[in-house]
Amino acid sequence: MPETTHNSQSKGTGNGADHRGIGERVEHINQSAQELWSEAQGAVTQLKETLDIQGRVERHPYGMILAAVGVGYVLGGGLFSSLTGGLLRLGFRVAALPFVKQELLSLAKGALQNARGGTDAGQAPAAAAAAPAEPPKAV
Amino acid sequence: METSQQLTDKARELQARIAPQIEEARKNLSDLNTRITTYIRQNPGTSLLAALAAGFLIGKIATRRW
Repeated sequence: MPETTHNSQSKGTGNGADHRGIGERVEHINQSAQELWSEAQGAVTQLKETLDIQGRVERHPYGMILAAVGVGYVLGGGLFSSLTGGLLRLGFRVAALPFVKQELLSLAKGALQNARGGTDAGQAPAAAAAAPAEPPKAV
Repeated sequence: METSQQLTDKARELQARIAPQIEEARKNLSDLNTRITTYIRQNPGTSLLAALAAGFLIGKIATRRW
């Protein structure tokens, strides 16, 4: 609305001032657009530098591919599926394997020691040797 | 004594037969790994987009009711 007021006021002075005003506005808009564009470009460059996807892919190609597959899997809605449950269970089992292995090894060692002690001492500890051997079956 | 000697001979023979195949398989796998990593490094955008699409499809298939 101020334009109309400006136009009505500048009627007496002629079209030169109008053209100058419009030109200034266009120039201003152009400048603003250029500033916006350069700012957007700067933001994109900064984001690229921050994420450093190229560098990450260079350093860990398989890791990045796996991460992309994971993101796609979540985006595809597979997060709350039975496959995720199965994968998680498998992961837990694989993660727990070293601890269970340690336990099993210590049990087996105990059983072996008991068995050796039994053969040295006599027949009676044979039953004692059988007892520690049971827990691995249960596991 | 003879049986153990025979067994050892057989094991050696088997090893001599299998070892080159294992070596060749190892070389092939190493070559494949080099090619894959080179491709990923040369085309990171394509590789990541393909992996994203593959994950998306797997997610869709996993949630599908059969």
